Amino acid sequence: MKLKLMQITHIARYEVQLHWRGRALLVMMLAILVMNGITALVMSQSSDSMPPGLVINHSAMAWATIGVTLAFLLPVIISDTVPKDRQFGVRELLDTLPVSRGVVLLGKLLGVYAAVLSGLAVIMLITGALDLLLFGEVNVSSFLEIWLVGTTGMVILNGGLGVLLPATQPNRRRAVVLVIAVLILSFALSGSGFESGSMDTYFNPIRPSIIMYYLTGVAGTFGGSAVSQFTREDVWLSIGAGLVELVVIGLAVWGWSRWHESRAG
Amino acid sequence: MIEVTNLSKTYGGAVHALRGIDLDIKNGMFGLVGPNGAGKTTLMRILAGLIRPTTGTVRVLGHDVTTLQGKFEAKSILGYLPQELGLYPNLTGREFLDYIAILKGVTDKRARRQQVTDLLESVRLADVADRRLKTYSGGMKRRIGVAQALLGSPKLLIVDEPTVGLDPEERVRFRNLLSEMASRCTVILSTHIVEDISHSCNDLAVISQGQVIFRGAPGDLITQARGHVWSITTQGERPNSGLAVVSTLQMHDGVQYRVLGTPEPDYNAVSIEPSLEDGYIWLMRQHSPTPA
Repeated sequence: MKLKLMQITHIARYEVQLHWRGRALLVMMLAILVMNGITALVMSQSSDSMPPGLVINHSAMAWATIGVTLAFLLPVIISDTVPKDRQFGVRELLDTLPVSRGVVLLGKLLGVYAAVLSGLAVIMLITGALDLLLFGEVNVSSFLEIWLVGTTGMVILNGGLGVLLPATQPNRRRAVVLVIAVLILSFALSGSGFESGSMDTYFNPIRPSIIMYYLTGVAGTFGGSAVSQFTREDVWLSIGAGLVELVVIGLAVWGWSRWHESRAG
Repeated sequence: MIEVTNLSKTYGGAVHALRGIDLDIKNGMFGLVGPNGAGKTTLMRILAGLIRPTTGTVRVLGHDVTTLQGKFEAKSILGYLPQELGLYPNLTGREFLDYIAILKGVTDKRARRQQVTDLLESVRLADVADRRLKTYSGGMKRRIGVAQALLGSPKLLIVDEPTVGLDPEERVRFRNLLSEMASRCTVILSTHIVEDISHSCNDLAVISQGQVIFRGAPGDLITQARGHVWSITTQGERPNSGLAVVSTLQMHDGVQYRVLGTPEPDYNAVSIEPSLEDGYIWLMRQHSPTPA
């Protein structure tokens, strides 16, 4: 057990390095940072003509960039986490080592979480500092809720989806195509719109409850100027549904790996 | 050490890669030689637990690698260098070895670092250890592959076509490294380059069309060709088609051919001592439906 934990930690550590040394994650983080900077500047310039609630809720504006990026871009960017082993030809070597595919998968998943969350933590601090500098104050509770619940929740759910869903694919291209197809399908299936209290909405991989709540609802909650049909309860239900999704997909991938290991060849 | 019994592997029900192979491999350096497509890599991959045989059993140090548990046990004593080794291009050589080391169960940090450093020195990559793998040449990547195979002091080392892509100096160095390892563990060297075997193995098997057609010492294989190797010098015309030309050397008084077979008296052929390569080619001719 101790060896397995060490192996998982070690795989996660190197996965963080591999993701940060690749360009995709870095570009995504820089894009979020730049967009946050631009919205902060624009809002600070026009703050006189805006409702007071929105001024202190630049965090909610920043969320528009973060939420959409985490919903649509993150799963695509990290979709090659497992398939790249096969594409680089490392899979064959890993299969000769005394480590199970389940351990490798878990290590990689945790590594992706660590890589993405560490980047977002830096962005959170910069955004907070920027808000303080430009607006003179920060609504700490809404700021922390957006980052700690909304952002972290989205990373865990859609990051997990981006790693696990394409884990059985043989190469990067097929992994990316699969993830994009699932996201497009999720969007298409929501033709009648997203509704609070609907299971379809909670289980939708785009996570509409989380995105919409922090985009509009949090401003209403903390600033009193905007309204949203989604509530904090919807956010937690969406996170719960997403975790169920992850467990089901994770078990399916783990089962596939075990089956593949037992009938290798 | 390794017992292979009645091992067969069929792909898609039609392609017979291995046909009833029996092998008993002891400690030391064991050579597996054969032409491309003979089934060497399939056998190596079965021994490494990567693929399952269609029939037969393989026991590595008593562990049956055809079962999940046995395979896992065998992997803990295995070092494997695949024919085409993949690497993470964005890791450095040192990081890659460290990564593989802990997956092999080398958990003690200090011991792991020491082992990685020692191996980097033994494969002469210490100077470039902190460079990313994507900047390595083909030979350097091959050497990092050798180093990862040696991590964790394996009791069984399987190396598949290890000298492909190495320059002559690296090839010699690599053979010496394997020979050193053979004093501590069993090394199975698969290759189609007979020279690699002749310089390092005291026990070998020749595999062709999925079957073992020779098993013994290199000297025994050489003996098979004794009396069938000739030197013929002509003014340029090639010896008749019944002979297998092993080498051609342009001389000042004509062309000297090293041939296998029974030359006609007109050639004034001179019998010469066979080499391991002669023995191998002679053996392949005996088992080939058409003369080489």
